[in-house]
Amino acid sequence: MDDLQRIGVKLLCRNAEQGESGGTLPLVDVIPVFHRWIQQAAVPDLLIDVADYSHVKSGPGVLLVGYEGIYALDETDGLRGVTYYFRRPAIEGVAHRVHLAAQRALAACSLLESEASLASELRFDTSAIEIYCNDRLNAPNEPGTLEALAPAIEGLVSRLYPGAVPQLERRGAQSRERFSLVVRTEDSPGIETLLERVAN
Amino acid sequence: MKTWKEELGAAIPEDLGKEIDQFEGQIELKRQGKIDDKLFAETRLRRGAYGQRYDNGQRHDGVTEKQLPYERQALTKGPDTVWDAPGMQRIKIPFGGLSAEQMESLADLCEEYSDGICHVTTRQDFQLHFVHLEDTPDLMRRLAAVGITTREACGNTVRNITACPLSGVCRDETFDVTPYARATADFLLGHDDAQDFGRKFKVAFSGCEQHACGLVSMHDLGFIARTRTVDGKPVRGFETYVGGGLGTVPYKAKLFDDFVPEDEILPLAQAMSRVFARLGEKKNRARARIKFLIAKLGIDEFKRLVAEERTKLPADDRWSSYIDGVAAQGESPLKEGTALNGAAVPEEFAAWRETNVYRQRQDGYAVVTVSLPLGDATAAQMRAIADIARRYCGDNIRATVEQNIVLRWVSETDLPEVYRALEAAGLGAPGAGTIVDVTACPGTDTCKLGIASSRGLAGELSERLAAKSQELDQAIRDLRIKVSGCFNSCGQHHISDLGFYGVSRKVGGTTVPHFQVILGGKWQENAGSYGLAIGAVPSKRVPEFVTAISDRYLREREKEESFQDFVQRVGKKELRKLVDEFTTVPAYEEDKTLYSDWRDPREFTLSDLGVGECAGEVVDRIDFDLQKAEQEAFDAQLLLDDGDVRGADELAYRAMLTAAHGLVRLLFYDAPDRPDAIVSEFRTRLYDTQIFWDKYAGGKFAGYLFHRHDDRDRTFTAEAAHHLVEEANLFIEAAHSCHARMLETGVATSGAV
Repeated sequence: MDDLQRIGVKLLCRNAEQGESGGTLPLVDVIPVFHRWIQQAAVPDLLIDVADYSHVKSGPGVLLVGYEGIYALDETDGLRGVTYYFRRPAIEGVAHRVHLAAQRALAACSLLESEASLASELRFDTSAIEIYCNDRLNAPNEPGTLEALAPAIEGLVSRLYPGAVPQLERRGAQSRERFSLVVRTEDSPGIETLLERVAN
Repeated sequence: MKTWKEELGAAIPEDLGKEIDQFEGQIELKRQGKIDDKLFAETRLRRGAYGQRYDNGQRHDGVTEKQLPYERQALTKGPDTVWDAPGMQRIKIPFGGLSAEQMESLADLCEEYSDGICHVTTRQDFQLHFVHLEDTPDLMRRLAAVGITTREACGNTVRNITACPLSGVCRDETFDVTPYARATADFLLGHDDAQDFGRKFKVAFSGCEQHACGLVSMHDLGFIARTRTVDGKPVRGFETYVGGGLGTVPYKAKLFDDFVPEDEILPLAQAMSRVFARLGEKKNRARARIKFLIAKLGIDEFKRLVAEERTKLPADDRWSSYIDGVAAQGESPLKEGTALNGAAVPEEFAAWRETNVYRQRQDGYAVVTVSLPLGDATAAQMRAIADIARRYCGDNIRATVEQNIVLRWVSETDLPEVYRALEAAGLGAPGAGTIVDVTACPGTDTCKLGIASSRGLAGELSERLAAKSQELDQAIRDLRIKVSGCFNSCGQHHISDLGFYGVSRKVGGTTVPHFQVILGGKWQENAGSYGLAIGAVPSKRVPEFVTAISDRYLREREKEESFQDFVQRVGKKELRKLVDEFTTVPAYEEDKTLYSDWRDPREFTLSDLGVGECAGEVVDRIDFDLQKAEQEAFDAQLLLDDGDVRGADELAYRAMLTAAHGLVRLLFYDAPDRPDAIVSEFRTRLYDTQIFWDKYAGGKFAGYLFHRHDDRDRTFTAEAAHHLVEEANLFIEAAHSCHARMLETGVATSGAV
């Protein structure tokens, strides 16, 4: 399990379930923002291009495709949020990768919250974080995967929400779906606080 | 960590598994710099692993052209193609036919290796984008485990064989062409005579003449179902067309034969492949499709050559062995077909049913079209469609050339439930086959050749038109719009009522994205006629133009005049005036809006254009043969390392035979692939003539092959096998040298450029 590479982290927008796509900001409004991020190398990774799937309902939304992974303002399952997921081997050790994916997702959330062109329309629910694995072979959607990943997840959660008693909720009832877990807490710190907490 | 190779094991058919293992081996050899760039590019293309925009490592970010800082800049996977740059994986689906299990597999693959989207192409393929080359072997294994191969999805090969998605259930068809499309796909896949083309070769099947059906007129080889009465009995056959194609200058296919009996279509395709391989252009890529060969030779001479070639073909059981089973190949409905029973239906059901449901020939059954916006479906949607199919219609799913998916054999009683299930999955949009169902190729989103954003424009048009679709006159709703990112016509703009393809224009020294307007193409009658090019409109003004031309058509059409007839009657000159009303571009300083493309805020530039891989790389057949021989020699060494002495010995011998056969084929195209024949021909044509002889070693390396071939009572020992593997490697090296000498001396010629 320590070699598991395809790990993702997602933070939902506040009111993520409102309307069809969660929130009122048109997805396409984030396209110029992502292009600017490429120009300015505003987030980590070798940034390649922006992919627009805003026309697909409950889809991957608008993607900022990098070499190691993908950032997205994503609407999978009808829940809008910001995600980062690895697609290439990056850093050694699954705990480090979970941590790094969270750092990158939070960095993107932080930039979007402060993005002037979006007029503060994107705000994130910091009381929960989703961690998922795009690897049905080595991280199938079954309890064993949770057991194997528990140390890595607990490590991240203890940094993000020190002292909190998190609730773990597995998403996706069917074995064919990817393994996905939502960590919920009573704590709801700001994005900047979470980002500081996972800073190296 | 587990691997898919271990996990899937016997679930992967042996031949597919072996091919994929070899491809993985070639990836590794290329990574080590041991395979030539062009040879590897064509190798991966023939496995469907295609290039994608920016894979040359350059990208204009809207301000300046930048190098994408890949760590391994020098490592390439083809000419000017950076190894680490993600690419596109095309997945060939013959006649678009899919099972629920295959849909689920595609869903998993798009989530794990791509960007979460399965994209249906205009040739009933699927494409995944942003795929890393190292992931492709596992991706292919997972497809193979559900009966899908990506072999020959790209490159200079027989591409996906398409067919009407209504085949077998159509109310007007002559007969179901599905078994014939399947047999042709199976027969030509990897066929020896279809490996040496200068360009791709596209085949389509239609069940009738009058509908769009398989779009036969725009194919290299197209078949329309026909029956004839012979000796009082109905006989099946096909009206056969050749040399059609879209591209920069569209060619309408020519009639080759008004009736080819069913048992003659495979030998005909084989004979045609041989003529195309032998006489087709190899150096000038722009004129290498078979349409140019036919234009050069004339259809009568081409027919004569094909007929002559047909007489030379050794008989092959596969030509007709499938025919007895044709009747048994029909699909089985999952449920009894019963009429819609008047039960309560959702409010929007009627509108959806009007456009997305087709009443089958078989009573009580319907075909449901699942509208996919721009051909895109998420992983969850793919699974939802699989679930719906399992529940309501079984494995009777097909992808369409209009980038949708159809579910066949749905009992009409179940239509409201199917609609609800699709709606819940975000797939309940009406409008299939109408003006809102815009087709588009990938364009500048991912294609290296894209000039303008075909998907951006298509998305914009589709959204705007869908918003007012209920207000549109039926005459407008029935029109089709198709958009290509460039003149290569992947969006099939020539055969649409309103077609657009990406171009650019300089305005005050700055480049502005435009779309060339093509009006009046005919989708029906198997792509019956191509539209007229009228003029170019700035990309951002195309929606206004669509409104204007639609309004004018409504206003001025005579009675039930079709759009095609309207365009012909009004004429190019008059229509040009309408186009000219939308050509104005304000100065950059006044308004920059028109200087960027739809859904891409970067200032427009052509600097991201790359070298396309649509044409593949022309690699001589001998280069593939020698590559295969090297792989076999390499695998022989692996077997030896694993202690399989006999296996290693036999494979090393096979490697020498493969190389020898490749050389012999340069002089004798039909050289049989049997050891005795190969060695005999090799001895006569290459050894006795001293063509194979090395300047210093003479015929020594040939002796390795002769000795092993003559050693009928061989005792298999590790030492002997070890020596034979070494000898095989030396023989293959000698074959490379021999080939080079043959080219230098003109004994052989090369199509490669």
